[in-house]
Amino acid sequence: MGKAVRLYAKGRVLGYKRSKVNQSPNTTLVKIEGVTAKEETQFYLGKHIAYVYRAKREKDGSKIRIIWGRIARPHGNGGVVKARFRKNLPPKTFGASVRIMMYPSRI
Amino acid sequence: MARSSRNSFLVSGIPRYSRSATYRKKALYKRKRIAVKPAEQAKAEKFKTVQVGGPKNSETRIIPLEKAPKYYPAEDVPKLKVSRKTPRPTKLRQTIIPGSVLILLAGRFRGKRVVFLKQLTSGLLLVTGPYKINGVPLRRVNQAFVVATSTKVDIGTVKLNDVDDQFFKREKAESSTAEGEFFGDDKNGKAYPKTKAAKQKDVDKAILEAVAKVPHLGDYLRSRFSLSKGRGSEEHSVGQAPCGGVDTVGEPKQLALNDTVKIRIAIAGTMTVFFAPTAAGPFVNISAPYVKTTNNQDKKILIPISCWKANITEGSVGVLQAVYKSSDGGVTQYGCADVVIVNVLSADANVIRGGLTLTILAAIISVISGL
Repeated sequence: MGKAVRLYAKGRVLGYKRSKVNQSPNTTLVKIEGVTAKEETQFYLGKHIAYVYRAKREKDGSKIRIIWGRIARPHGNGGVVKARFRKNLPPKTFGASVRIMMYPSRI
Repeated sequence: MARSSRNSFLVSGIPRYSRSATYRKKALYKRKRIAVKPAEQAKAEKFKTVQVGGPKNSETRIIPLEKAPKYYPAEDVPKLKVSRKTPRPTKLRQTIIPGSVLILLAGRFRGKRVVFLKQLTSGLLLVTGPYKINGVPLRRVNQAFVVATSTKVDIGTVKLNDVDDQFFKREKAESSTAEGEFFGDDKNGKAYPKTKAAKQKDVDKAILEAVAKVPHLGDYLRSRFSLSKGRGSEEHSVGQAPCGGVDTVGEPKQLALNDTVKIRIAIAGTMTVFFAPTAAGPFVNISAPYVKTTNNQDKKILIPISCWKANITEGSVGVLQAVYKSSDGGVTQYGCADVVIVNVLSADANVIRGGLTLTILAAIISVISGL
């Protein structure tokens, strides 16, 4: 394969969508690296997002597991986005990095 | 959204609006009545006359051609509505035209640049590497997993009539005998079908000829696409002017007016820094040539730059290019960074304070191993 090819943008899990006292764990806030404005998030809307982690026990012959999701919409004006995952991300992922894939592609 | 009926049921069987009320609501009186002419049906023979024996049976008898079914449902079973919906053919994205070079985004060939041939009836895209250039065979891909580039390959002479979805159907695996499995007959797997290999060659031949006519197109198809941080740190691409072959523009990094550029050089040689408003040039020399006399790969060197030489002021954006020539003159390396010029670096500057780190080390390491 040669050199590793990175075909995803890096993102960081900031936490759940929330108000002052309540939080809604079915929506996660993600900061995408290099994206600093609301307009720039446009490209990423709808893109698949993957939280990749390692677990002790093998499943289907692999210790690597993935929680898939999609980017739903922008959050605020600073380039943060809301994402929905098939299974809500557990709170231990706050601060962890996620992969924002380039598909489904519109370009 | 599909519209639902405005008529609801008060209780089961009694609708809110009567038939005439619905007629009014639907404004059906406005609709012109078109008398439908009953289609003239060809009179099909439904009966036939059969000769029968026996003196009391009047010689002939008329019997129906189709026998009445033995089973007759006692209750009326409502017929299901036949759906008139048919799937529409997938629309090809505007950016994808036969001959376009596409970048695959997922699967085992992710990052590879391939040539788009045509859209199949299933809506999938037919692509080829060509196989000889980057190892991608004739393949179907979904357009959602593809990035279209503006590069085109002339595929005018390629004949693709017999490549369709059927071409990619898997052949049924022959049931292997338990005995054969035991003795490891299946070790090498099935050979690639010869007809497919021949078709691959046939298709690729014309494409390879078209690719050979355009300078660097083959190299372009051979190279893999990857996202990278800024420019100039890709091992495989360092070497070509102006930016080492990396053409993705990164987030511009801040560079102060009186700054130094931090560069790693592994092997003795000369380093010079250039600036240009865009990667297309023209590149202006903004540093004195820095000569390194020793071979050590860990040290970063600091090269002071003089922005006035290139007429750069605060707010300018452009490309910083570092050019390295080894002392024996045998190796030339290029690295680039996209920069925005600021007066003073802000606290959250996306850069190591006191300079910009350009790594054009990777390819030079390979030279070390040759020493």
